Amino acid sequence: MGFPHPSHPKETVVLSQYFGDAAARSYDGWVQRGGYEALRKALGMTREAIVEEVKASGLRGRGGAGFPTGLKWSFMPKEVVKPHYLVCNADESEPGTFKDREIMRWTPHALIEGCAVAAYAIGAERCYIYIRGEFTEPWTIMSAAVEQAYASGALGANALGSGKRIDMVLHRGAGAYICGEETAMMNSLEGKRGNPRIKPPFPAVSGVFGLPTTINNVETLAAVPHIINRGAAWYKSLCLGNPKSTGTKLISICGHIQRPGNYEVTMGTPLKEILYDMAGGPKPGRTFKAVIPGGSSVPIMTREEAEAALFDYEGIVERGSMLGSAGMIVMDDTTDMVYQIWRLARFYAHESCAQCTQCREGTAWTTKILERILAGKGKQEDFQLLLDLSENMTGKTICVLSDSCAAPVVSGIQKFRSEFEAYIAGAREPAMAAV
Amino acid sequence: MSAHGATAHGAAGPYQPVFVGETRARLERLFPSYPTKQACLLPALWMVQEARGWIPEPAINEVAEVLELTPAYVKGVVTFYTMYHTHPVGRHFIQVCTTSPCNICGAEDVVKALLAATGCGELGTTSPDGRFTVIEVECLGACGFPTPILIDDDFIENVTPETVPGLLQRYA
Repeated sequence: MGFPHPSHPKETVVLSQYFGDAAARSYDGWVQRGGYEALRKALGMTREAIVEEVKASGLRGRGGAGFPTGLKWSFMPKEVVKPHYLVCNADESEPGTFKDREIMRWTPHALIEGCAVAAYAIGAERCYIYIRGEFTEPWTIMSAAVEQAYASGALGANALGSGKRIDMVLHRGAGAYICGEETAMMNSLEGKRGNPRIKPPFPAVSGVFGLPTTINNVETLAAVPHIINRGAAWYKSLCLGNPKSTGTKLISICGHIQRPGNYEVTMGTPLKEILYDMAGGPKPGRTFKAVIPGGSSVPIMTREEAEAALFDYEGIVERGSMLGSAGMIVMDDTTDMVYQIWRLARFYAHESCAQCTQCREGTAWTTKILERILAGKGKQEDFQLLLDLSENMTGKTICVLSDSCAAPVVSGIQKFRSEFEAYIAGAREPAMAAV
Repeated sequence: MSAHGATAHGAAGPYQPVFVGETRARLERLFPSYPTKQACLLPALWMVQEARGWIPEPAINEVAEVLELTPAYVKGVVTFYTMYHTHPVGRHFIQVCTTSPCNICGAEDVVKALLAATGCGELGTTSPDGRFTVIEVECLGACGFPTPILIDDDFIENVTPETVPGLLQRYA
């Protein structure tokens, strides 16, 4: 539902059914709402059968990459000869995204149940839930829920009386966007600086502590119990667009919009319906100018591109961007695009782990050039310089943080060039003092 | 962190270890949850900050000893993460999100209001009365409720310049 707003008739409410219902937070409250039935059912299935069911559902990673979840699980060694781990990525830090936070705040047991099913399916002896340090409230709620789940016997040496052991540990981050990148997260969990690792080896071969590991996003794992309960065919049937995009997706909408919040839609829903019908459209007297549909790391869409798109992995790509985390930043006609692209570049410059030269230098340099333009000191050559820099920041580093900085810069210059020109030509008042 | 003001940490005197008694026991209870002691580094640093309000140099040495790491290694980790304070901060630490989604909804005005109302004047400095330190942070993950701020561990949504003075009254 469009928390904090009432559910909209065009939403498909699955994961968000109990958002806003504080009684669903407790173990008993969750059980009364049908909770832990999926775990009970899963523990009676073979591990392979669970992986196959998730594969057949078409569920894809909801953290941003969209990798098929069941396939990822199937990469784990079939025989458990050394410890396996599950890591739940609850480091939600992608600008524009605030959906995992609501899952943890309102339905902590949905996540615990999803983690428990996944841990069993991949043969993990323990699940670590890595929660970003700033999420103080989700941390408190999740801590209480894990404690209750142990006390009630859903977790521990004899999970739900199955004789199978499922353990869960919450781990608190300490302020680093990059730790949402899965290999950086593994390093952070090991007590290291959060520098991403080169792949291969992939986590399923050598992950956290050098052992086979699967890392899944909060929303991905929270969807798993529904698939176990209602079946892969049901989940797969939730599809209005491309058959490769199935199920429901939580969308966080923020920025210049009447009703910001989280909405849950069937994959393939027209983006225009989400923007106007569900989220209420632009503020009075304003019109949309741009939409960043998948968190700040994806190319910026113009209003026209966004309004023509179907909301699924393929539909957004067709219109020149990516679904990413589905954190949607909406900007109206009052927005200074150059200033906001600079603000995004500054974000990436601040968050670069500084391991790779292209990223360490490129994000900082990009930020400085944009500052120069905003100060009225830009030159025509700066366009080419920014594009050259962006090219050298794309596909050349260990992780995609520097690609993410390049995406709004390149798409911004392509689609809103006249706003840059206005600063360079002195037709627009400088937005900041020269450095 | 609220009980530990800037001046308290500056006091000279012998170092009082953090990992004694219940704090030590709390840390040791974490050990079985991880295959290495090193993995307890972030939790251990949180315990230091909880006890002292920041991570002083001697605490780095203590953490290193307790977890069988080198002080240089621990310092490298401390300085990677933005939430560990490497110097004393005010009794109340305020983090304001100013990343793009909040920025377009007026976060910079919230920063100005906070700097004025706290008496901090500029980002990163502590108010003369030792009560507040204000910093800008990157995305707090509550973009639909601009502007979110963190005061100590209190996550507060929908802050506007108008609501700032009232909010601060709760923090002595």
